[in-house]
Amino acid sequence: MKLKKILLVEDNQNDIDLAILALSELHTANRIVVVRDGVEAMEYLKYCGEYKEREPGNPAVIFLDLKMPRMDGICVLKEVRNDPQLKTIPVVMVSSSREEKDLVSAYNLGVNAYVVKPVEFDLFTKVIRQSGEFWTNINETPDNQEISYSWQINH
Amino acid sequence: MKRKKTSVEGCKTFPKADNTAAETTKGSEKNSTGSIIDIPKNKEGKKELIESERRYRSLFDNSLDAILLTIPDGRIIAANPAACEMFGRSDEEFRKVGRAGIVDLSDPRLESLLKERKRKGSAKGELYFFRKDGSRFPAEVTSSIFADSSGNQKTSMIIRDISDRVNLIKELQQSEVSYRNMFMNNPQPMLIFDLETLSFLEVNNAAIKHYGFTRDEFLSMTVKDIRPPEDMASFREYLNNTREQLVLAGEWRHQKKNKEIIIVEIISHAITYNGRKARHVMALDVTERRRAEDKLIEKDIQFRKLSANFQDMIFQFTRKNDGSYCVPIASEGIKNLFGCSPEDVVNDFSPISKVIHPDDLPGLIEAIEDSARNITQFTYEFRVRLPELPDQWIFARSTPEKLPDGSVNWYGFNANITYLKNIEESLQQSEERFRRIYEDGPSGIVLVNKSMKYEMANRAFCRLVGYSMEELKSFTFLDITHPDDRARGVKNFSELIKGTIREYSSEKRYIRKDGEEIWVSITITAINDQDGQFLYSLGIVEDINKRKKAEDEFNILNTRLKLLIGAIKSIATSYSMKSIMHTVNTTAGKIMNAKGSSFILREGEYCYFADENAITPLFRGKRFLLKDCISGWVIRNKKQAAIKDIYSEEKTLTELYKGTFVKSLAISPIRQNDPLGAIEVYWDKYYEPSPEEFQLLQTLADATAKAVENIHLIEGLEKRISERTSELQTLYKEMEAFSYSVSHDLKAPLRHINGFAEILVKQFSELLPESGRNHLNTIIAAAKKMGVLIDDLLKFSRTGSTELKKSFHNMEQIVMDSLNQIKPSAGQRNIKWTIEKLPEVYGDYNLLRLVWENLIDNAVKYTRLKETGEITIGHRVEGSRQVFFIKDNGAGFDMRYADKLFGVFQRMHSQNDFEGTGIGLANVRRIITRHGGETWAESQPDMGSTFYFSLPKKPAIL
Repeated sequence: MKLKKILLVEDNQNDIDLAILALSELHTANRIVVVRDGVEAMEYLKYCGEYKEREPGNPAVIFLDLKMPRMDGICVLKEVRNDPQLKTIPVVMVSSSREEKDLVSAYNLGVNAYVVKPVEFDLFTKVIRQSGEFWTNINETPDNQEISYSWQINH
Repeated sequence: MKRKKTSVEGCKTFPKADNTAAETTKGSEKNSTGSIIDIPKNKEGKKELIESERRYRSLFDNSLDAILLTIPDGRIIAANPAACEMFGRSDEEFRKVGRAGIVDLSDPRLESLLKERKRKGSAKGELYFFRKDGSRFPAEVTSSIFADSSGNQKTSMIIRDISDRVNLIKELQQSEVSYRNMFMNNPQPMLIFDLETLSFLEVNNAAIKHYGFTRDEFLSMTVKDIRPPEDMASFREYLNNTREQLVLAGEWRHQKKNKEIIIVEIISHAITYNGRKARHVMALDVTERRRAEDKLIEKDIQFRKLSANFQDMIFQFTRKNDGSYCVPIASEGIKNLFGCSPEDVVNDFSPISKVIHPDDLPGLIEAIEDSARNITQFTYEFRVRLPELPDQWIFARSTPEKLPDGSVNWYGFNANITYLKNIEESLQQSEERFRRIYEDGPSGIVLVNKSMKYEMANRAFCRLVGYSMEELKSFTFLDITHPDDRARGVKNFSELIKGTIREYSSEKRYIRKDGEEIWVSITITAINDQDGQFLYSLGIVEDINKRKKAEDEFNILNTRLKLLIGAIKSIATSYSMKSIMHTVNTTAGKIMNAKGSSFILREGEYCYFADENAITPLFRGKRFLLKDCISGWVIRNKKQAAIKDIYSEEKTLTELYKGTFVKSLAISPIRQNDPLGAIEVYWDKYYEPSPEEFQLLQTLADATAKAVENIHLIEGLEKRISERTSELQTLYKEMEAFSYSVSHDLKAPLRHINGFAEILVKQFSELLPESGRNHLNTIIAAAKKMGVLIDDLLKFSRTGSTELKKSFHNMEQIVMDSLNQIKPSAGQRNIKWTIEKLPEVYGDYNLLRLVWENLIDNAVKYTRLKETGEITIGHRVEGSRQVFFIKDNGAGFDMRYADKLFGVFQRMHSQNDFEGTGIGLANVRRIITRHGGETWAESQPDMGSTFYFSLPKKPAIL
């Protein structure tokens, strides 16, 4: 069975590096797909542009930065949840600070997890690694795309 | 015997009257005997003859002896009533059978009697006669021959039935012994005395027994001895005068042996006894009878005594057969009633008749005559006029009785009923008064019967409803009742009939004959018969139309006032011109009962018809020059205006309305001293508002002025507020953007510095010298510190910008929650906590908790150097504020720098002594300030510090 990808949506190269470092300890480096903003993320997910010819299949999890140029994390989350093909993909929102209003809107859109990037590197790697491990190795998602969520997405 | 019986009866009832009657009868008996003897045979004169004929006729008719008029040959030409009775034949029968049919022809004495009559002209003897039934009886007959007026010979026969006497004599004749026995054993005392010596010759057993003397004693006595001595003189005289009389009768007093005096009725005959002239005396003891008679007299006296005190009068009234009146018996009350005494009227009615009111006398007499004729009860009321008295009303009632002689007696009473008459009169007067109230009174009065029909209605009611009494009689009350009031009327009426209610009052409407509605107040009372059965309902009806109209007007005014008040209330709280104009317009139309209304605002030299409330608005949204319209005139002249007829105005001011349906107008300026507009109402009919209505409109306009002014004021304020608010919002947004970028953009590089420094330490530490590794560690520590600083700064900025979520909280609970948060970090420290009882406060839980966390954290931190930390949390009330404090025994501070204590990044101690960012107390101050309170601190270095903060005791606005 082919292992599913981990989609990391992050505009900051330093954070990308730190995140890859953190996730590498899970031996999943080859599964990580990095995109630099929301637009690129949607192109990947919908097989557009650069990703027209990519291998088919939804990622196991999307690590989604909140604050990005062009299209921010909240918009991506909204599009994913409104797309019948994508709505079952687990999304982990990753933010620099714990802003109440960001948390509320993310959860209103059906985010699966919301983590704050700690300044301390140990804590940062721990957070990224653990959530990556949970959503890629432990959590199960249906292959069948017919599933419909019982809850309604607001907005 | 028959006559006697009658008189005795009469005697019993009317002793006084009877005496007279008895005497009269006796007299007439004597006379009648005499008259037979004295029938005139010669014709002394025609007059005398007629008189004789009359007397004869009376005798013939009234005699108790049978009298027959015959012709000498034996024919009978007349028989009197007594004869008819004695023989049981009628006068006609007598004439048919003749003398031969009634006389026993075999009697030998007949022949000799007839011979003797022929010889002497008259004869007397005894003969046997036959009654019609064939029975034979002996009779004494006296017959005479006389000549009638034409000279023809006639005879008369007077026949007396002597059956008893004949039998007695027969027996006497039969034997001397039996005669003696007859004498001796006769139950009636009999005495025989010598007329010369007056000594008794014989007495019978009854006499012996009755008088008490023995036979021998009697025979040695004279008649004088049985008489009381005081009667002796009159007795002697009597004897002398009657010596030659054959038969004597009279009443005497005798004395018995025991000296008892008895009254005896004596009949004596002159006889010859043993050759001596003697008298045979029959004595009938009538003592008892006389006593009874005396008793009757006594009774009469008692009656008089009894009736003397009787105010009214009991009487016997007699109409004699000659038609005259008298009052033989009258009680003493006659004095009260007629002013005369009983004696006055015994034989005379005039003392009474002369005091009877002349107007009443003829009627009274007529009534008496009527009663006498028909023997019907007599009842009459008449007036009596007595001197010095008002007319008295007398009531009379009596029962008549016809006597054989044709006279009539009434027994009855008279009573004075003047007081009754007075009552009756006053009753009549009161009835008259009622009748006047009924007929002429101002209230309508009606009688309605069971079937709801009008029985009676007075003039006032007829006027009220416009129908005549005759018309009303064919109606039920429902017919003229307003349809809306009928059901109620029927309900009340049926309850009245059932008797569940006795009366009711209500207000209702009639429909008059002219079709107009009229309001009345009615009071209905049931009139029931004695058994409580409904007869009529009596209704008193008052016209309350005026009152109702006034009430209606009042109600209309009241409704309008309510509308006005509602509108004033509504516009006072309105914040927009639109809603004010709408309210004012609809209200103005309603309170003026107008077809439409306009809200006009002044715009410089123009009238702007800002709003119009009408089905088909005329000028909504249009503008006219002030000088061109009536509203402009009102605004410029600051006066109300009413135009009753827009066409009558010559000015151009009403030109606008010509050609529209508007006929009348009324306009009030809004704000009278400086009109900012006007309220205009208009009608499609000619109408002039009353002063009250105009006042209402002006009041509405005045209130509108205030409301509009308020709106302008509020609008100004709101504009300023919204300007300020938007400025603040911009500022706030910038702040937000700032803190957002701080958290994201400042923290990211820190994270990277820290991250990569650690990677260096972890992965490349062998490649670095010792000092290089130390530098890397310093970089890591500094980055961490900066991270904390940034977080604290963000927290601080948020306490200033986030909205307060105030509610009531228990301050003690907030302190305990904060303690639980901090205690673990206090570790193994030995701290003595004293927490006093704390009150309820009004504030934001999270922020107040942040206050306590900071304060407690501080206290814990600064007591660190003490062996035993002592921390006290308490509270006190100071006026209108609650003051909370936290006191520690820690390091304390120099009060000279107290004002710097709560500044951002201000520290009292070196970072090496006590860690911290210097943000905590700044946060406390900001939070307390935002709650409307204050913060301060007291301290001495090394003596501990007390931090205070206050909160308003009661929330300013809830």
